[in-house]
Amino acid sequence: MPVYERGYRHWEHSGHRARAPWWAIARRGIAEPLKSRRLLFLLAVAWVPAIVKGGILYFTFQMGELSRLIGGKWTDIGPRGFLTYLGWQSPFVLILLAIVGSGLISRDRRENGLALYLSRPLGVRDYVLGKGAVVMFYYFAVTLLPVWALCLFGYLVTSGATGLQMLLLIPLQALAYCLVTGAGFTLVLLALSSVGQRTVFVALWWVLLYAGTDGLAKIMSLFSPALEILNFPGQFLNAGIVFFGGEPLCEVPPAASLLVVVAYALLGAWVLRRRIKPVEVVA
Amino acid sequence: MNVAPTTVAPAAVLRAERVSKWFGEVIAVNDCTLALGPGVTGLLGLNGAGKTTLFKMLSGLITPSQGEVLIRGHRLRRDVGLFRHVGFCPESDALFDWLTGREFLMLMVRLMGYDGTEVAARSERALELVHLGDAADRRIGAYSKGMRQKIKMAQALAHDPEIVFLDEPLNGMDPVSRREIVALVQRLGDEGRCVVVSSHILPEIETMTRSIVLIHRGKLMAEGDITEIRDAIHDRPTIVALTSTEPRRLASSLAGRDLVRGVEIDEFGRVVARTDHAVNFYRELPGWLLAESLPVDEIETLDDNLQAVFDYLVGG
Amino acid sequence: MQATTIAVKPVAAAIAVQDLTFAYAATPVLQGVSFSLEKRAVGLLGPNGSGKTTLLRALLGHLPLKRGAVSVMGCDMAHDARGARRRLGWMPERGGILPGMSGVAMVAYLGELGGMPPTDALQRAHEVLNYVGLADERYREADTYSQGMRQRLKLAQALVHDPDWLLLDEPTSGLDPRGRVSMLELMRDLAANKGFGIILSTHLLADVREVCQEILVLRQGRLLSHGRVEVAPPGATAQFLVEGFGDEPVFLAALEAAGLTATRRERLLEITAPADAGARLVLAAASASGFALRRLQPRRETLEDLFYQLVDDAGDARSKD
Repeated sequence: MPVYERGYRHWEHSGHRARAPWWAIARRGIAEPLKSRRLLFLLAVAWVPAIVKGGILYFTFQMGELSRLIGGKWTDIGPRGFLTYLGWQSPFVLILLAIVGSGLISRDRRENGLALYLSRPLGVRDYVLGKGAVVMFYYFAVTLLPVWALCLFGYLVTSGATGLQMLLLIPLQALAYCLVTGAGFTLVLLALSSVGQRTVFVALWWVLLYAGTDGLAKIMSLFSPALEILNFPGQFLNAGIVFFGGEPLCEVPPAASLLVVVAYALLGAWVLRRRIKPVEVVA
Repeated sequence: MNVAPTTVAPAAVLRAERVSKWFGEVIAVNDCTLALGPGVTGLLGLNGAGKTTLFKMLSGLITPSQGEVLIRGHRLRRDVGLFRHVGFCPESDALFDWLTGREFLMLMVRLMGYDGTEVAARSERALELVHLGDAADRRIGAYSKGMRQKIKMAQALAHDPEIVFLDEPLNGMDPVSRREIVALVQRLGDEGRCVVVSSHILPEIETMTRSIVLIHRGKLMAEGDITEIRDAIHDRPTIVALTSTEPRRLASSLAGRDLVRGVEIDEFGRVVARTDHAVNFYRELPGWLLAESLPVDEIETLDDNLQAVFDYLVGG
Repeated sequence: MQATTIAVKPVAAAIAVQDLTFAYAATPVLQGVSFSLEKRAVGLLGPNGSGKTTLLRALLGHLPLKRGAVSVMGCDMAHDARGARRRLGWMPERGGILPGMSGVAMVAYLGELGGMPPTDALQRAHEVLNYVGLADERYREADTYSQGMRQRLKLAQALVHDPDWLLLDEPTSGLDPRGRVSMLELMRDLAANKGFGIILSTHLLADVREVCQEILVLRQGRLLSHGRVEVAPPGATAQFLVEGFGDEPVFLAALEAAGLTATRRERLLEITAPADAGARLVLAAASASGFALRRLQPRRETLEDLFYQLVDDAGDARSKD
């Protein structure tokens, strides 16, 4: 009869596979907010516009030719209409990412937790990738996912080939758009989170950047329409024209807006590179 | 278990009479009576035992909810002039980060009521005492933890007080600075000052003094010399280890003695004896060993050190 | 465990540092540090700002090395820091908590990041928290832990992936006497009974004495010395330290009559006597004079002696601090 060691025992590897470090970080970051009922409620509310859009889709397909008479932005079931839908989602993106993303890095910095991560066999890239995946997940949850669900719904309820044709490219267009803008939002938000010590301030800065520039640019553009370029979320949406086609949403050319998005992403990446280091240089 | 004060210093410089302090429902210090004479006294306790509160009451920073602190028989609360006799080095380090060490010290000395040349001279002397060296002219904001401790100590000593309170003065210091400060504390005690010092590192307290005050959950648990306190803990037999080339013979010989309660041979091959009458045991032991020509290379009492006393009283 | 055979290169030393040099901006922190360690408990001592923490970070592969080489268990830190970190556990001095998680969740998560399968990580997290004495608090949020519990939690996260070496930065900082003793016991157990290599960076010689037999001393970024506490070879005479009570002048006279010299060192008497019969002569003098002996010990070189000797030898004993 063996008597086992009562104190410290060495680890016996079970032989199961370990997760990639970035995936372990992402899982943890995604699962954590889902414990909150309020966040689940917010996610549910964020899908309400999709239900409305689904209704529009349904009636348009049912009414066939008749729908042409109604027309307009709201009932557009083409690619341009989906970009409008993504515009509706903007407030949800603002709030959800503020809740989920502000603390991702700032909390780790507060108690020197970042150093704990980097004392493990993983690099700065794994860390940022893992944290970024969390933001991307929630961004997709209220943008790309509803669009895909709507398209699927559309395929099911449409009768004619025109409907199918209309919806055919939208999932891919949405994917491209959401990947680019998601990366932009993620890098900017993570950069803010890596700069701020306190999560509340990070959230505040994010809201200021997102909603503040929106309001400011609307006022400024009364004097010069090109100043709409200062509108942070507005530029992200306007860049969607590049993917979905149609008339620009403001006086700024969509290609220029796309460049602005890329610039934001690069700026975020640059800040992250400077802020996420294993050893902080104390002057 | 309570150990009665074994010695009451005849010339008590500092006395606390039944002092208590509570904050709302929290009682930090509960009915402590103390008399401290010249020399170094170690103040010990676990975190939250009430050490810092006791420090602040003894030095007059806060007023007891009940009871009285007396310095040379004068009530601290009544006589503001008594503060001149007291130096306090607090545990927290909220300092003026934008001043240099020297500026800070001169400011503190000036606040003490000294003027002109006196300020510079006293500051200089205090800086020398703590070995701050050329760091004195750097900003405190750039100080390491150890340097901050030193400037706090200099501030407590600059006005040459008769009573010095040092709350965790060694915290964050490196070994070399520790040795300097330990020597300084010993010297202050030898000069006849009443020095009260606290530290979590019990071996360090032991190098500074044999005289301790132990508080636990706000109550005074023991006061006096470590060895005397140890001997007063009657319900724990004293444990003495003997190293011998003939452990079996030694063990059986000891087992036959009335003064010995039990004998065993430990994992290092030492003979470990327990006795309830330590004083007599120590006195008789050399005779026994010589009479039976039992070879012994080493005699060591395992539980008369501060750590053991602390564990017995606080329940390690 | 999967039956994979790995060609193991024989390594002379578990940790080898060659001419390690590092500077933050223009401030040199480590200058030409070289040493090699076997898997043992080693105390890392030095004044504030002497580069102790930076040296630990170099062993974790966190420093961009311009000069010098660091090799940990055969992994060259310039190329394979991750491989080494898999087998290193680090306990930082400051912080070291992931807010918003329970103790067990944090340890399991960091175990997973240490390359463990999720289920193994969770099981081990419970085990190590048990070992460090946090069994009852493991479901509480780590933010609410007291300082003593935090230190234990930090040790648990360093142990969860069962590393070969533990790099401990001031592990007893902020602990009260009870917490300190139990932390020292854990470290001693890990070093002596569980075969861990430990680098213990601390200000407290008393801590090092409890855990280590070997010390590294850094000062102003240079390795001052690297030494072990050796047992001195027996000489013709030996020093004995004696503590006791009774009629001391009579005892001293008895010692003198036996040809022994005694000097007082604070509360101890240091007696020089022939090495072979020393203890016996002291006992005889004590017995004859009715002097009670609490302590009779041959004087040995202690870690304190070694440390101060090293520091003093290196020129002025004044530290930078």
